[in-house]
Amino acid sequence: MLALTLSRHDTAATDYPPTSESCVECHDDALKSLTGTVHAIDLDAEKPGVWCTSCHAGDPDAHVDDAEASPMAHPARLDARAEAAVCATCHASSHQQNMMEWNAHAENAVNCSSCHLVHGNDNLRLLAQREPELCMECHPSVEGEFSRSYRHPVLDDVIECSECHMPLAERSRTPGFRGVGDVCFQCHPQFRGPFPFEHQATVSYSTEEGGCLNCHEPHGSDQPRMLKQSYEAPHFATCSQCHLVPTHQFNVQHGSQWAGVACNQCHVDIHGSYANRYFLAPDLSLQGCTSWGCHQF
Amino acid sequence: MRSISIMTILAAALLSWPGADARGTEVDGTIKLGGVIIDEQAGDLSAVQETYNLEEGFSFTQLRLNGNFDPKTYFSLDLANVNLRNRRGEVEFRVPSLLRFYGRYDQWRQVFDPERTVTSDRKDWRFGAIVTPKRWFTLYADYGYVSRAGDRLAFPVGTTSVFGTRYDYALHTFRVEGEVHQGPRTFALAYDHSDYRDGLSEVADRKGFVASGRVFTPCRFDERLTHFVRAAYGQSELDYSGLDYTIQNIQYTGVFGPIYRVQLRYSFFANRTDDESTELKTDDFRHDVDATYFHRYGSVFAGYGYETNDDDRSLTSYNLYTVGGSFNYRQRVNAKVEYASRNKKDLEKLTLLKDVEASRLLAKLTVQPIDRLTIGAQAKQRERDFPDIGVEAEGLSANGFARYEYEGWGSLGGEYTYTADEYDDLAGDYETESHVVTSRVVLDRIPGVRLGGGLTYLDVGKDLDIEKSIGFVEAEYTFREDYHLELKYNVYNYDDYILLDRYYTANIVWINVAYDFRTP
Repeated sequence: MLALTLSRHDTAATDYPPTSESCVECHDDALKSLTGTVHAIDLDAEKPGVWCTSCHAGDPDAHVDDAEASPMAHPARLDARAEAAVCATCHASSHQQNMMEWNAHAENAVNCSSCHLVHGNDNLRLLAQREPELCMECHPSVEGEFSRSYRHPVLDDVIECSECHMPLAERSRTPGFRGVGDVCFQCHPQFRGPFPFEHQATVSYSTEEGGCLNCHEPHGSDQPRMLKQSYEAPHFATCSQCHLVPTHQFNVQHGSQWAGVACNQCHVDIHGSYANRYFLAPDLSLQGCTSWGCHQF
Repeated sequence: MRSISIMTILAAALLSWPGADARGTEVDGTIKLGGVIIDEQAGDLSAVQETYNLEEGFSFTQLRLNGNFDPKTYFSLDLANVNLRNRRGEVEFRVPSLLRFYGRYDQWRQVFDPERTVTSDRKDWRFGAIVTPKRWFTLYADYGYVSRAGDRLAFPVGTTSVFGTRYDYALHTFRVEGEVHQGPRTFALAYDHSDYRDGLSEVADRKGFVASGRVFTPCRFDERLTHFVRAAYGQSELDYSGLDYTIQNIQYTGVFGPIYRVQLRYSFFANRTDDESTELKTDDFRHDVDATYFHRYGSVFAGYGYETNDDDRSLTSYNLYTVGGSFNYRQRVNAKVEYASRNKKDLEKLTLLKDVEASRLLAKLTVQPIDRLTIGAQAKQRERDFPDIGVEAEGLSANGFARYEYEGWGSLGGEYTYTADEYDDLAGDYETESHVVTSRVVLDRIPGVRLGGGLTYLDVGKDLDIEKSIGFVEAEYTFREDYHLELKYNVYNYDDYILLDRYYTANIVWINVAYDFRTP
């Protein structure tokens, strides 16, 4: 939503019941279609609430005289910015502010009513359809991503698109703590940190370009654990995309015993460790691996 | 069951609300009962995630209530799969312009092993309220509880983890926010608290908070300019060791519209993260400017961003570019082309990854030649190079779709997506290529009968060799106006031609009878 013209309408304060009562004489179905929603019009209210002209701008008196010559505005038929300005008259929460900052929907001529239907709708948040069907109308390739072998259960009605993609909306839990990964930590709190020994790849503020999405594909993947790269012998691409360590992958001193051994056989807690700066398993020290020679830390 | 029982008690509490005047109460709803029949043939029962939560036998499939106590008080309740392990529910109570209370529950079982014996359950609760005691003041409160318990397998099988072989944790979160509106201005303060408890390892217990504020206001001197400022301070701390990290950030966005068709935007973001574990203070500064020209038939936009990240040990900078345009013609034609790039410069060559060059090119087109038909296509090319460490990754995604609706008959739709991903480093390469087809047809031609069917087919090749398909047919027959008989048949198939034990086939039938009711 763009917020260039967020000046609040005066109509809500000046349009007393008589105007809306006039509207209802011809548009009683429109009044009924708002029943139960936040936009319900209460003709008996003592103080101004939401009236027809709060959203439908124009000259109501002239419209009553000649509806064709003096039409009232229909917000859903306005362009994205103009409709946003009407809605923002009352709705200026963090959701609208996010839309202003990122602007992606407005740039693609997606206006508020593309997702929210005001009349004749009793869905939660006045969504035109339930998620994820609503989102996939415009993002059809995503359905295929959620059909892959390892995926988030979005098509199973367990997770909604907006839980991740609108992190400051009301469904969010933990805004602004640890960067983009905050979205992930809503459901995977065990990786949130702090860890006494952090892995720079998991923290999004890092100079190493960290974050969950470095290794994981959030919609769906054909790799276990929704990994982006394969995690298989001989070179475990998930790790080797950043760590091409000759003394590991090609170390003859380990001999055949360690050839093709998974990285996390030794580096057990790659999301961050409570015990070792190299995320090494505590039992390695018992085996003597870290007591002398090349692993004496 | 206990979880849904609580939801039902909440619903009953709502129904006993003082405003629930029997004379004014109107309720409509649906109750749906049925059963599930499952026939599985598998070498690996964990191969198809869609079947993890299905159970054979009786199913209390749905209870839905929707109504009002009097013309100004409304409630809704929707419970699904009440006696199954993937049960979920939503409840809402609202007095328009004054109060909205909501609650939500869902749970999900994850399966790890081929025998489906190593599993964990995740349960998710949310409750909240939005109260507007005055037109100028709104109070938001939200409580969340996520827990996970059960067994787990390390990945790959055979490796170990200090997390052990079980899950037993819970995350409590609480948020409260007060928002004040005055004319076009909004000011809000929020406090978030989180508390994580791990039943298996007390060293993992932690708590944290974020206190934040935001202001949204037109410029006092020129209303074509809108200011948005947000600031936050937060801390997260391990209980056992006392180790913590803090964040402090401030963000400003200014949006200026000198004329209606033009929008200029500037954003500034400054963040400091002070992490005791790494002993690093990381300062991140970002500046972004962009301009958009809006025309009745579309828009053109361009932007530039500059970012620096300094953690006392290394200094990196980033240049971001974006340029693109969209075209819209009477909601019949929508097109968009966008190019974006992000280049990282490691000024001291001290970071592990050193320089990074990333770019993305996107093109999409949607056409609606007649009201009933929509056709679209999209292509996306991504590249990401790490020249100093010899890593390259690139991906191509191309998608086409069509939907056709004919009133009185039904609808037909399908999409096809092709993806190719290639990754190279100094040790080797990894390539995949996939074809995904989804389709769906719905027939409404026969009065009282609704028929549907569809297919999802996925073929992954090159370094992987996997085929997966889900086919379904469904029918709904309405009789005596308020009764519905629903039949659904799904067939799942999964074959991994490299890991030959990983195959799965299932035939699953759902039978449900639904009754719609309403107060006279």
